[in-house]
Amino acid sequence: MSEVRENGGMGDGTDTPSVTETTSALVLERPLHWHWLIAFGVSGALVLFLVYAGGVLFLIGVGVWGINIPVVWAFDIINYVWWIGIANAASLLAASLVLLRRQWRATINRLAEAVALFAALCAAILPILHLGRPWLFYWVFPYPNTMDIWPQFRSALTWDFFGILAHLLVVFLFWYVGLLPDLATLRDRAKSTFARTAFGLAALGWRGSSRQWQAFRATYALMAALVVALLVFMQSIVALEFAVTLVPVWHGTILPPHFVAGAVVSGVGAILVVALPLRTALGIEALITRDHLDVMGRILLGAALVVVYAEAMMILTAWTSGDGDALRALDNRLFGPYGWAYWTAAAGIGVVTQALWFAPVRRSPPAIFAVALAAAAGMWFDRFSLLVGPIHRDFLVSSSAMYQPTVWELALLLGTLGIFFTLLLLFIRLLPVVSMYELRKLAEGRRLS
Amino acid sequence: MTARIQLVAEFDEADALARAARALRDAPCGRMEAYTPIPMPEVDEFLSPGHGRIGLVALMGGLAGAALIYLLQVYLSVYDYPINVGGRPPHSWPAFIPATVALALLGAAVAAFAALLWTAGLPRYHHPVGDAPNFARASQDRYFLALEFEARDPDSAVEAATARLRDLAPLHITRLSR
Repeated sequence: MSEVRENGGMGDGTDTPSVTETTSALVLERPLHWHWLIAFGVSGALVLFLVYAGGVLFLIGVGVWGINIPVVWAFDIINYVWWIGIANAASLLAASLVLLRRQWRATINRLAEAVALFAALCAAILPILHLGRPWLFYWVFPYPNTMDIWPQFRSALTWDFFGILAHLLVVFLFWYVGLLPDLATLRDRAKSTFARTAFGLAALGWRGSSRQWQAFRATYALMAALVVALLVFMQSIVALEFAVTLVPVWHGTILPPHFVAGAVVSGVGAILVVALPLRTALGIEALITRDHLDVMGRILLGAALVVVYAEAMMILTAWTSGDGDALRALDNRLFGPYGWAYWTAAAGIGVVTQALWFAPVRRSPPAIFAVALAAAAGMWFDRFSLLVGPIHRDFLVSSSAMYQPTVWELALLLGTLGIFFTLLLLFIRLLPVVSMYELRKLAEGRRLS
Repeated sequence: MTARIQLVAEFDEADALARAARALRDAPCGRMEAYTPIPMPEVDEFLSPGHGRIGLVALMGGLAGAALIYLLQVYLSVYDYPINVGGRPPHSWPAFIPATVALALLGAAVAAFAALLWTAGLPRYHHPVGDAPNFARASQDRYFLALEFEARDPDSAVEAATARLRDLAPLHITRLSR
C-alpha cells in the first residue's frame, strides 16, 4: 500500500512515550464523561429489556414469538447468523492482519478482536434462547446421563454447538494473548492499588524478557493461523445449517462461501461503524488514520462484490435448474411479499458499497461510516430475506403463512445490540483499545512481525 | 539455595541494549536476559535460542482434540446407541468431520496457550529482577539487561562485567543479590 506510510500510517508526534501515555491515559486517567455515561445507560437499558424478554420467554414459551409453522426460524436465527458473521469476520480480519504482517494493523487489530469477541457472545446467547426448553441446552453436549441418550452428531445444529464452543474459546485466547504485554504496561503505569492489582493479576507477571517475547510472538502468530482456519470453517458450519436442509433456496453448495463473504461484509462494516465514532470520541485520529479507513474500505468493497457474485450464482443455479420448487422459491424470495427485504439488502450491499471505488469516499470518515452502516444493515436484511423468504411458502401450498416479529423478538435484536455496546463501552474504559507494544515498535522504526 | 547476584543495567534506547547484549555475549556469567517493552528478535537469537516447541505442542494438542471427539462420536453413534435411519451406515464419518475439526483447532489453541505460559514461566507475580529501581518502565520505554552470577563466581568476574557494562554507558547499573 503506497499510501500507508512505513511507520504504520501514524500521524506525527507519535514517539514512544507519547503512544504509551496517550493510550494508557485513556484507561487509567480519563474521567467519566457524560457521553460515555449516556451511551452506557442506553445500552444497559437495552440489556435489561433483553433480560426481561428472556424471562417472559422462559416463563411462557416460544409462543410469545411470531414464529410458527411454516416460518419456524426468523428473528432468533436471523440475529444469530448476523452476529456470528460479524464475529467471524472481525477475527478473520484481525488474524489475517497478524499473519500478513501488515504494519498498519497495530491500531485496528485490538478493536477488531474485541468486536469479534463481543459479537460472538451476543451470537452464542441466541441458539440457547430459541430452544423450546432453554434450560436444557446442555443436553447438546455428550455427557454421560441417566437417560442413556446422546446428541445427534449427524445434525448441523450439533456441529454448530461445537463450532461456537471452539470459536468463543479460541477467539478469547487470541485476544487475551495479544493483550498480555499491554496489561503489563497498564499494571506498571497504574496509580491506584486496585488498578495495579487487577491489571497485575491479568498480566500474569509479564516482564517482557527475551524468552517471553519469543514465545509470545510464536504463539500469537500460531493462534492467528488457527483463528483463520477455525473461522472460515465455523462460518461454513453456520451455512451448513441451512444447506443440509431441503428448503429450495437454502439447499445449495454456494451457501458456505456466500456466508463467509457475507460475514466479511457485515464484520468489516461493524468494525468501521465502531471505529469511526471511537476515534473521534477518544481523540485517537492520529492512531486510526484515513489510511486505515482507506484499506478497510477496499476490503469491504471486495467482500461486497463477492457477495453479489454469490447471489448471482444462486439465482443462476436456481433459474437454470429446471426444478419447479427452486424456481418458485426464487421468484417468491425476489418478488414475493418479502421481496422488499431482498432489494433493501441488494441496495445496501450491492449498490451503496460501490461508492467505495472512490478514494475520497473511503478516506472521508462520515462517508465511509454511512457506507459501512448501510452494508452491515444490508447484511441483516439479507439474512432476513434468506430466512423468512424461502420458508414462508412451503412445498405444500396450504403451508403458507406470513411472518411478523413480536416485541419479544425485537428485544432479541435490540437487546443483543445493547449487550454488544455495553461490552464495548466497558472495553474502551478498562482496556487499551490500540495495541501499545505494536505501536511502540513501529515508533521505534522497526518492522512488525 | 545458592545466593545469586544480578547486575541490572538500564538503557533508554533499544539499539543501546542490542549493542550491549552483543558486546557482553562472552561475559563469564550464568545467564543474560533482556527485559524490553517491545520484542527484539535481533537480541533473542542469542539470548534465548530455539524455542520452536510451541508449534509442536499445539500440533499434539490439535491431534489429541481431534482424536478425542472423533473417537467419541464413533463410540456413541456406532457402538453405544446406533440409530438405524433408512439403513444408512452408523459410521457416517463425513458427518463426524465438523465437530472433529472444531475441537482439533480448539485443542491446538489451548495447547499453544498452555505452552506459552509454560515457556514464558507465567504466571509468576514476583521475580527478583523486579527489585531493580525503575523496573516498572521495562514495559514502557526503558530497556534492561540483566546478567546473573552464581554466588560462588569470583567477585572479579562480577567486577569485570560491571566495568564492561559501564563502558556501554547505561543509565544505571544495579547490583542485586538474593
